[in-house]
Amino acid sequence: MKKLLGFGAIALCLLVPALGLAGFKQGQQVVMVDNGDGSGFANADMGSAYNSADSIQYIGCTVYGSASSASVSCIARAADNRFRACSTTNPNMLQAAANIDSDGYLIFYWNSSGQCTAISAANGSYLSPKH
Amino acid sequence: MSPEHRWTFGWVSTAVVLLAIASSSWLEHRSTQTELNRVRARLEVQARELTSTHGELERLSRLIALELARAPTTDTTVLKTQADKPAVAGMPAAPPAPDAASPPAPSPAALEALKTANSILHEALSAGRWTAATSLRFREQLANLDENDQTALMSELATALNTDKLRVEGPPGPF
Repeated sequence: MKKLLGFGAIALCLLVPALGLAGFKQGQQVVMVDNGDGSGFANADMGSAYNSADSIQYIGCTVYGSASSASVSCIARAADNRFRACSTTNPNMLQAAANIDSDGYLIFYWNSSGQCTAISAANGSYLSPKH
Repeated sequence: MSPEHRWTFGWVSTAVVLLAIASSSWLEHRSTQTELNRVRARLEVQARELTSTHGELERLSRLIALELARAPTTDTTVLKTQADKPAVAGMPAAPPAPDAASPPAPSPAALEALKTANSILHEALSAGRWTAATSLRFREQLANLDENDQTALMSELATALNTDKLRVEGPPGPF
């Protein structure tokens, strides 16, 4: 009986951290929304996109700088193989793109001319890291 | 036929006629909806084509403007002004002053880069593919362009991707 109780206690100790005290998690893979007028947005947790079962989806931004100009271009590919992208030289969006963490959350919006209208990057404990 | 049967027959006939009318209007409504959907799809395709043509025209007009800016000036106003000035004996006529309002003429390197970047984009659009190698070549040319031209070309590339006219092959690379 004592042995049984001992095993029970050990099992409980192992299960509690795994089940009850793990913290909130978000697992947003690449999602794109087209508004029908050429504009839309794409977003994902970069860790979740990377860890997804398919080897298709991705999302990210590239910041370019030269002596005369700077720009940022963002691109996303959904699991259904659609691509969406935007580009801008707006300094506010350049700054937002510079703060993107590779395990963070990224959302970018584009207009019908393919220009970014907003870029937002977030980091948080609820986001899955790459593994 | 008994009056009771006649009465039932009358009701059944009315019901059949009403049902026929209802089915006919429903079918008509459905066909109109289908037609509307077809028209909407056609309009969407035309709108996309127009957007693409608009981008093309903008790029061409930029190229023409650059070529004109690069070409030697034949502005008759300037020539007339110069001719109107009394010549000073022994002094050569002063060269026309550059117009402060107009942007500086692009360098031959910038003009060449714009042409090459346009050609890279066109080739990719024709093939429907954007590869990492294409991206590197394109970016190399963009580095020699001013901000306006860079923005216009990047916007055109993004629009082509957003309208499913272009697909990225392999890793996104330095998109």
